Amino acid sequence: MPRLRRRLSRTIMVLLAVGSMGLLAACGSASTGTAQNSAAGPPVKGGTLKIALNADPATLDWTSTSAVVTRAVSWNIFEQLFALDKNYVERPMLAQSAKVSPDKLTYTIKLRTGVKFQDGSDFDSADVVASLERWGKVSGTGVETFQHVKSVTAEGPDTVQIKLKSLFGPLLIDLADVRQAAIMLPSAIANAAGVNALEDKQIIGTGPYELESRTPGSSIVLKRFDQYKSLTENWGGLAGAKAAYFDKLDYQIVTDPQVRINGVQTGEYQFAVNVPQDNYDQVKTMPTVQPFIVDPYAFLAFVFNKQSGPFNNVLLRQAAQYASNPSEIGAAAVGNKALYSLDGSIFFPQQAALHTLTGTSLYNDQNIAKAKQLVTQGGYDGKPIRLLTTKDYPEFYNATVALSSELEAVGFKVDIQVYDWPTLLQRRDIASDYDIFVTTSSPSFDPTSMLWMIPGGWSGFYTSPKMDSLLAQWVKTSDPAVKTDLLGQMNETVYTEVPEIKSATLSALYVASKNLQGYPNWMDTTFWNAWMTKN
Amino acid sequence: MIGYIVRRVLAIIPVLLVVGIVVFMLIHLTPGDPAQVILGDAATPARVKVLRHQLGLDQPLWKQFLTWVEHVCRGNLGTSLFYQQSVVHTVAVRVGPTASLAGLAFVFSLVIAIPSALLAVWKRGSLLDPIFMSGSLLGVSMPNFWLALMMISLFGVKLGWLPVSGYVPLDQGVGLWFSHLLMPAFVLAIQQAGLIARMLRDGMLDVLHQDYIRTARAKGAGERLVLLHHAFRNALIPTVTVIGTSLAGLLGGAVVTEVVFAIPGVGNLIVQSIASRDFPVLTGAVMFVALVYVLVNLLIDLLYSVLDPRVQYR
Repeated sequence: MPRLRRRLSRTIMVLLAVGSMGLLAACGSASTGTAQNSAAGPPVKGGTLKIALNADPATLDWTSTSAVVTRAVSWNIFEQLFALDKNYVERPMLAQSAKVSPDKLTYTIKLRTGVKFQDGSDFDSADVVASLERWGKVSGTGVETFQHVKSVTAEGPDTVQIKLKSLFGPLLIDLADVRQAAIMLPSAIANAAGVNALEDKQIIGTGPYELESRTPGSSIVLKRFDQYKSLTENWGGLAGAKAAYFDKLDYQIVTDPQVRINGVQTGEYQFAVNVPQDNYDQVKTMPTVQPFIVDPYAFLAFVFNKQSGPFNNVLLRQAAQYASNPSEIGAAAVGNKALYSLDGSIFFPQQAALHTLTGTSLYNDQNIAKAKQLVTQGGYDGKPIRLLTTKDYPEFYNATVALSSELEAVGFKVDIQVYDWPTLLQRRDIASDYDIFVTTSSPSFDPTSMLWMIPGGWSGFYTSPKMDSLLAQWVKTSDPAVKTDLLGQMNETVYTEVPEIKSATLSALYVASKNLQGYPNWMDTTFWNAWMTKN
Repeated sequence: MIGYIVRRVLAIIPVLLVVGIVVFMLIHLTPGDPAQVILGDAATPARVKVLRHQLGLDQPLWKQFLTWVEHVCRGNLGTSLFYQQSVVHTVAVRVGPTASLAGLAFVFSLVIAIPSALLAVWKRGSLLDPIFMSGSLLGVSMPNFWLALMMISLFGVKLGWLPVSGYVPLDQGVGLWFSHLLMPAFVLAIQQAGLIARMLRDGMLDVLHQDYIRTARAKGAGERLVLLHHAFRNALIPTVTVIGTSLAGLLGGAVVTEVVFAIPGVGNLIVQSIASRDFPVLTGAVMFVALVYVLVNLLIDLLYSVLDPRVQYR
């Protein structure tokens, strides 16, 4: 449907250009010029920022869901003990410091003092214990982390101690993970909510904005939390100083992408998320609009069903990998070269501490002859490959069509099956229903939270003694050299065992009014430290 | 008459129940897991399983169905899986925007349709007649979303006269309410007006060949009196059926128009609840639409007797 509308929009633009209808005669021609942010000047406090969101979050509880649309709103409200900085490294946020015992089994976390919740209560160690215990039950990352946790105890009002059963190096980065995050709640709310998602009245955090109102399907309004206690360090990302310049953040649910663009163009909204990438050239010419390319956003991936069917055989998975060309797939998916890139590492280049190209020689290594040979060697029986895709995200469908023709070129028969996104989500967990499905992977911050790579952790039925062993070594080491070596081996394992075909890295396209200043353009939207000039 | 109305109102109950049962069965047979949608793409199968249990989705379908029927019989349509609010509340808050849009579109459609049909009949045989026929055909056949995007491009983006999307409740200002609804209401009205005007014109042309019209003219009645007093009123009966159906359609939620203009109405809710597999809300919203259709049809039937005294209900 969005694709249909976008095609329709293009048709309209053509009609506008040729002036073929009287109705459009008054429209005139498109403006030219490149959108550039003007000199910002000093920050201006006040005003409401209207943001057009592409979907309505089921909940604002950032612990209970991994949905991007939830965290994009909720991280204005909630904070974690540790938060990612602009380089995706954890920094103390509500924690002041963390001391690790010599045996690395006890973490003593000193908390910041004077921090208040939006209900007026003080933040202390009891809140941390209750919030972390809830996170350990509700969040996927939390459940994984708590397998290694022996106890979480309050040691006085501003100190918390986490004792581990066994070495677990990723503890602090997991506490800073943005997917199903370890948000800090007042202990009464954390205990009352338990494993259920927070209700709107329980949306109480320590962040720079608090929830004012929510109208399901229509809007979410946040207002400045006047008692917010900011850090002073300029770390970027979700960490460090946060100045809430806007009085209010008004999120409007606008599902039609063209209407989101139009709204920013006309000044009805000052920001719109997830604009279709093929609008990039059009947006660049709009005099009142500035485009933001969100990079890193996610990489495209084609995940194999490794439990049954032809891709239970690693030779056929390797054949498919040799058949694929990430460059062609990226171009098919989003078109504009500015909006996709190629990188073989399982982590994004911006994640300096985790990114390595060691072990990635098989990435973007299309070899048709080798692929054909592996198809024969793997004993492919000629049965059509069921490739699940969706048109809910046009880039998924476009990429699937490109991969399909590449697979057919090496001898596979392909049956593209198109479903809406919820159906695809369900089918990909049923081994008898598919052979490959398309998805994207947004940044992970530690190999142990990279779901697609964890044997048994996610859709696709991946089992790998080798990856198990590498991950087990990873959690026990803190030596940077050993870690780098392990990351290289993980890359190599991904390209030899091929749990999925890692393809092009895609960027998202967001648009904003040219009057928006100080916007950091880091991951999904954060609006603290940003402000609007009058004109 | 009162007995007839009571019987018709009582007949609504089984109709709604059947609609509810059919929708319940259809959407539960549709693949897609609400728990997976709520938890997001990166949810682990274990967490999805836990949420499915919390939401009662792991129960056998017959058990879920019996629970639903039991709740409905108590007047409880359940709780939204997505928003964790009662279905009645979730649907009720969407009725205001839809009713506003439908009401305005309905008024616009009548304001456009009735004068243009009268003009076409009055000037039948002239150049106005084929212009009317083409115009009304265009109105009926023009896709809503196409017209909506054209109008947004012109009046919202290029001229900047009207907001491109959104809804402002009436209590926040009549001007804001009206400006946000003007374009979507016009988009909806164009299609309905085309249909109503054609029905009215054809009905009036039929009536104009009747003996009593000839008699009226023989008695010296002017064209204006013949058209407005005799032909118009007698042509209304078939037209009222179309008007009623169109009103029911509008009140039931103009899905495409509400989505394009980001109006948080019933139509938009239906689309969202399908996308998120919010089964209770979808069932409740469709039952609401069915209720509107049934009530509007009852109203139309009652109107027949007002317009034509020969029609009587016992």
